Amino acid sequence: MNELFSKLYKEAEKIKQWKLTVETELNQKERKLQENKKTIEAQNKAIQELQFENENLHLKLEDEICENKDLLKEAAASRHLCNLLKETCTRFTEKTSKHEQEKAETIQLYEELHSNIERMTAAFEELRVQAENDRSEMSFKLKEEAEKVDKFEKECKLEVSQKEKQISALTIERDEKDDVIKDIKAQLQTSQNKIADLMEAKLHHEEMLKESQVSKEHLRAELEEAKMSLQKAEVTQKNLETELQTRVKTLIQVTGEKEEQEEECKKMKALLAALTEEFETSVANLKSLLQEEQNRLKKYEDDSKLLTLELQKKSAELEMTKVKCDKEVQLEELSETLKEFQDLKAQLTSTAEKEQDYLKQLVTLKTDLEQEALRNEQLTVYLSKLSLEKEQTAQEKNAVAAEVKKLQEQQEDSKKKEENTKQLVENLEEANSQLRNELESLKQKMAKTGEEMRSALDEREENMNNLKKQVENKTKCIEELQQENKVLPKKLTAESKKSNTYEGKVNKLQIEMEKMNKQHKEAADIYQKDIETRKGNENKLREENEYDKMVEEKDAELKVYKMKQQKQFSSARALENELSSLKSELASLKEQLKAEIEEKENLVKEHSHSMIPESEKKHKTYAIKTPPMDKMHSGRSTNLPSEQSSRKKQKVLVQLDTQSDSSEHTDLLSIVSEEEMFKNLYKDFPQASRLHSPAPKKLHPV
Amino acid sequence: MAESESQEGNYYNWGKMVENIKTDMEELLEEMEKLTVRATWMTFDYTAIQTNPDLSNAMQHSEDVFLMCKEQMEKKWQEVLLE
Repeated sequence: MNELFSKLYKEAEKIKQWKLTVETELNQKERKLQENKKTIEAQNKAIQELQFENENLHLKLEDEICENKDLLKEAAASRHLCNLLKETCTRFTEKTSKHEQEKAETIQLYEELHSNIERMTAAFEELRVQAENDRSEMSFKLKEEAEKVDKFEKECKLEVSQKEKQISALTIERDEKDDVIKDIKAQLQTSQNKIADLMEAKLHHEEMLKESQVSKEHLRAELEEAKMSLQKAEVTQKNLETELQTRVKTLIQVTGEKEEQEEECKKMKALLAALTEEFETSVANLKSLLQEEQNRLKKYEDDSKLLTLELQKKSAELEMTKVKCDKEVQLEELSETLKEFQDLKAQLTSTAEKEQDYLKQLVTLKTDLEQEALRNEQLTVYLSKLSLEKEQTAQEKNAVAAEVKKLQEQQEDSKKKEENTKQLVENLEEANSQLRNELESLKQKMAKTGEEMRSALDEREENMNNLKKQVENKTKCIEELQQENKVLPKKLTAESKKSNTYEGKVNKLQIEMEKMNKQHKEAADIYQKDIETRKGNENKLREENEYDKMVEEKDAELKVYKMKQQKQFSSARALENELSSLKSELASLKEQLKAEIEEKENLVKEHSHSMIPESEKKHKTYAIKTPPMDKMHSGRSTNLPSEQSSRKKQKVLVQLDTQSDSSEHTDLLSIVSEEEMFKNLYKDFPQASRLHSPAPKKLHPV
Repeated sequence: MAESESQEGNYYNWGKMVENIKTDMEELLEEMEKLTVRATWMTFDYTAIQTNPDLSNAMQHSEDVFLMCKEQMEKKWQEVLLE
């Protein structure tokens, strides 16, 4: 509490002090205030003055401020403008810079574009040039290929023409063979037709035979009837003769009345002749009718026979079919057949009656004739009647005789016909047999021809195949020979070089040999001289020994030299042998070349021959001009024997002598030309070079 | 005082402002001149660029060459074959 009081007291003291201070300060301040008030008054006055001045100044200031403001405004405006200008300038500068950049860029772009455009133009021009070049090259190539194609087409056309020619030739052959076949077939057919005709003729002749037999029978019947009539006529003739005799006696009595009666009789003759003619015609008609009726009779008889046969058959059928068919139908049929038979019988009886009627008519006519003859006799009285009767009887006799003769002739004719028919039948049979034999022979021939044709076709096919093979082999040979030809000169040159080298070596060796010989001789002379000189010197024994040693050494050297010499001789001989062998080889190679060239020629010729259609040269042969190996030792002949040429269908292996010189030079040229032809033909087309395949040395001519 | 000072300062500033304005104006003038020069240069360049016939000629030439090339390329092989 004291502290608090102390503190309070201190603070109260402080406060008192502060009051004091404050009072002092207040006093001071009052004083100052008063002073200040004074000053203030002074100042107020001053201030008033100043205020006046201030007001003036203020007005001035205001004016100036206004002016300043205006100026400031202007300045601000100008500043603003300047700022704007600056801004614009900056913008402008920026824009100009941008523009410059852009200009630079545009220039660069322009330049780039220009360069690009130039590149484009250059590229387009290059493209165009390339296109033109390519097009030109293509056109050129196309033209070349077109030319090649044209050449190939031409060659193909040539080949086609050749092949067409071959085809035409082969078709001609085929046609010829077809014609031959057709002829043979036609002959076959004709023979067959002949056989058929002969068969038909045979049948016809058989029918004729039958008919002739039938007619023969009919004629026999007629013969018998004629004989009967003859007998009757003879009887009548006898009767008439007796009557003649009696009437001759009466004639003598009545000759005086002839002449008067002859005139009347002549008239009557004429009338009677006419009547006789009419009667003859009627007789003939009646006879014809008789014959017809007889024929009808015969036919009816035949029909009756046939009917009887049919009846028999029908009866047989009836008997056969009694079990199967109805009896009434059969009976009806029988009745019908019987009716028919009865009708036929009635017809037959009617015909017989008709015939009898005709016969009766004939008899009546005859009686009329006799009556008229009697009338004639009555009219002419005696001679004329008798003569007429005589004539009539003679005529009748003659007619009957003629009829008899005719019948006999007919019989003979029928016999002859029979014989002829028999002969014909025999001939036909013979002809049949002959035709059959001919048929068989023709068939055999046909078979043979067929076989021959087949064999020929097979042979041709074989020939074609062989020729194809030959062609291939020949082309192969040609190629091989060509290659060998190409190789041979090289070989020749190499071997010639070798031979030259060997010759040089041989020459060198010979020269060395000579030198060595010379040296040897010189050395030998020298040694001999030394030996002689040394032998003469007795005082030089030691030297002689030495010389002997030297001699021995030199003898050894001599031996060595001799050995070398011998070796060189042997080498020289060997070289000479080699030279000779090389020369022989050269010669053989040359001969081989020539032989191969000849073979080429022959191959080309054969190839050319084989290219020609084989059919045209079917029977031709090859005249090989190089002799075969078999005949090398026996001598050289120019052509093969004709044996091989005659062997048409045999394959012959011919080993040709490759070392022969019998070939002609023309062959070489022909081969070369044809080779060139082949090369020219098949230059651009290696496909066709298959024809130039290498060929073996063996040939297979056919 | 402050007013005078401010006035003086203002006056001083005014002078400075004026001078600044002058200098600024001069600078501006120069800049404007420069800018005008540059503008004229630019216009010249633009005109030069626009009136430069090289590009158009080159384009024409390229067009011609292109057309020719096109014609060449459009020529069919058949025509070549026919040829």
